[in-house]
Amino acid sequence: MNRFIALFLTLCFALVSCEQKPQNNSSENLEIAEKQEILIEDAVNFSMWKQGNNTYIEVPQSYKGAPTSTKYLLVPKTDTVPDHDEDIIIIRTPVERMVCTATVHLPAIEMLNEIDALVGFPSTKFISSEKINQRVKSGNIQELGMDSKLNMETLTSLEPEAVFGYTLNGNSQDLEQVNRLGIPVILQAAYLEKTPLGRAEWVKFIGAFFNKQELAEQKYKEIKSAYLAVKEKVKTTENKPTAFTGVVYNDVWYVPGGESWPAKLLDEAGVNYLWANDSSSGSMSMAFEAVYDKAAEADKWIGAAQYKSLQELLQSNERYAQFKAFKEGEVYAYIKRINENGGNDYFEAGTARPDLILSDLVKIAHPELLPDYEMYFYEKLK
Amino acid sequence: MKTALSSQRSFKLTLWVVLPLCIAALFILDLVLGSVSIPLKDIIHIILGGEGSKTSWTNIIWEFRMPRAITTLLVGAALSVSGLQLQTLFRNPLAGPFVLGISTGASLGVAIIVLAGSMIGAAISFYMNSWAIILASTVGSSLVLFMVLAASFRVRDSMTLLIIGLMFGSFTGALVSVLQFYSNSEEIKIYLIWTMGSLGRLSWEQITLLVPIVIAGIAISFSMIKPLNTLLLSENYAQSMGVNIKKVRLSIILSTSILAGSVTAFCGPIAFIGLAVPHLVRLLVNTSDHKYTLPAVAMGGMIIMLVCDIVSQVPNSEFILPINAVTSLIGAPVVVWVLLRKRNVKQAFGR
Repeated sequence: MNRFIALFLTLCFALVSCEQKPQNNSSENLEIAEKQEILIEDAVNFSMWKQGNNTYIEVPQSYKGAPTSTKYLLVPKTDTVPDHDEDIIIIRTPVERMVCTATVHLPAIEMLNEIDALVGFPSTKFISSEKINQRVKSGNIQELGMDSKLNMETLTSLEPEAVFGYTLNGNSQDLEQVNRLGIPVILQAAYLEKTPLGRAEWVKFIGAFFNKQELAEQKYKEIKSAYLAVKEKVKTTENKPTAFTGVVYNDVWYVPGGESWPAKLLDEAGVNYLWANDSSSGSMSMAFEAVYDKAAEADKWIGAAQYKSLQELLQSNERYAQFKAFKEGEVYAYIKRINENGGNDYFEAGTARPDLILSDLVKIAHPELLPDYEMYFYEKLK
Repeated sequence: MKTALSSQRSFKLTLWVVLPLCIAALFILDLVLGSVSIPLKDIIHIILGGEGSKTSWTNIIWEFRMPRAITTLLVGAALSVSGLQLQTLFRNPLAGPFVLGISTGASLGVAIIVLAGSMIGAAISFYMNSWAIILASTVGSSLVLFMVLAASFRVRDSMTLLIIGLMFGSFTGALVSVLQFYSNSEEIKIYLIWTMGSLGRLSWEQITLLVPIVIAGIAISFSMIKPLNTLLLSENYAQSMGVNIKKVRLSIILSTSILAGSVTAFCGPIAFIGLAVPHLVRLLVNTSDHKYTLPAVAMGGMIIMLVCDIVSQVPNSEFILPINAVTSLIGAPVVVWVLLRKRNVKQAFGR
């Protein structure tokens, strides 16, 4: 009897150890697999590294004031998911069916030739990209209603593998619901980047979800070198025209702070932005007279919202006529690429293509530096 | 008896001397204080027709601050007078110029061109035209008022009319939410900012249009001092005194819609003033006789509006606060304070 028990126990032991062994091996393998940092040059709000076939991504702030960082573990669909922390979000790659909730995601997806993966989008009428619009028309991309109130039933029926969303304050009932449905939510937080190139580099973030790391890196390289080339040209000129931006809504003129994204771009374009010395990174609510006092004699008015002509500007507020830039017709607005529904490509492609915005700004401030260049987003108002 | 007489005398002194002096002082202060600090000497020089030390200062005074200060006076007087009339008509301390749906009607008009612009495929630029907004707001509020007016011929008592006005308000409010729901964020922002009110957007051309309209509205209300006083007792009593209730009601609604409607069209819905100023003034002057309350309310409205405007400019800073936030932030605590001191608002309505 004792023998039997001993034999049984030995067998049990053997079985257990047999079962445990491969698991031990795999985690050992994981530790052995070298951790390869992926170089991120300009963006500061995400980092990536590879370990074996898996990619780890960490986003310190998925929205402003996020209490913890968001971590993603990207595992090829053919591999098994390794041991991982509980709070890490697992994504099986490549993502083949996805839903996006904002137009800012779209340029990267198009650049990476992945628009076939996009199956749903809210407010499709605001999309500027022609290729994506064609897929909307052919019914390959489902309309999901409003981005603040997604049509959950349609979204669920599309069976997306991931929803690419964004949140300004971490408070999105829609995205929480998506999460509860078991669909991973990927928060894009490029808008928190402080530099234009930093924002554009998020193409690498998106690329990782499609296993298109190399293509993403190449695209980013192209954008960056185009950007730097234009910036280099600016260095050859001493002349720095003064400029202001924005328009007044009712009584309030929203002026971008000196550390903001538009201010950075103006600075890079060799423009003497009148609020460049300000230290805020958001926009400031100013009185019309305060803006007027500072900008009355400025050379250029760059970014007069979406007004289409000087006449229209004047109709909205006749005080605009007091500015020297207005009198001399040096007013520019980002109106060249607005679709028939009012969607503006400046807000869509603009963040991903700072090289184009910078070129536009240089063309405005120093036309002699880019004689053959035709502006992409901006137009001079007549 | 003697004390009553002397208090009446001091009241008259307040009405015809103190209040106008306050208005004059605050008006000048409103011109002096602003985001850009301009020396007093320059301001006086500019107002007297000279040039300031900086040319931009001349423009700031004549193109920015002067129209703004005049608009402030018009808005304060118009909204307060219409508030007083409606509180008397409905014998309800919560009535204000917007209970008849003037504000929500105007909001609907503006919402349709601002928010539905892209929906109906209209050019996005249209809504940025200030005349377009004025037109839309006027059409919206007139439509709602027309319906309320039609209802006023059918209903017997003013309380029913009040409820009908509130219902129209809820209904148009719901339509606005639907429009908001289907709009993009920039449109919603423009619309929301419109709802926060604006005193500084009017051009001289628009002001010269607004001045006669407000004067006409106030003139109608002054012509009705007697019937307004009889209404304080009760509609039945007024009727027994030979007052044609329907006609009076019509005149009050007309005057209110001219005053509140035009101000809303030009400046957006300015909160709180119409509701609060009549209370403050009534409690200050200790009488509910419209012979006194009407002019006092008109002047009180100007004073409070001027104070709010000065605060909204956050003097000596480049920043600015929306006027509606200021009217309620300052106004609400003041009214609560006055009510707590006086403890009774009912007596003002003769009950």
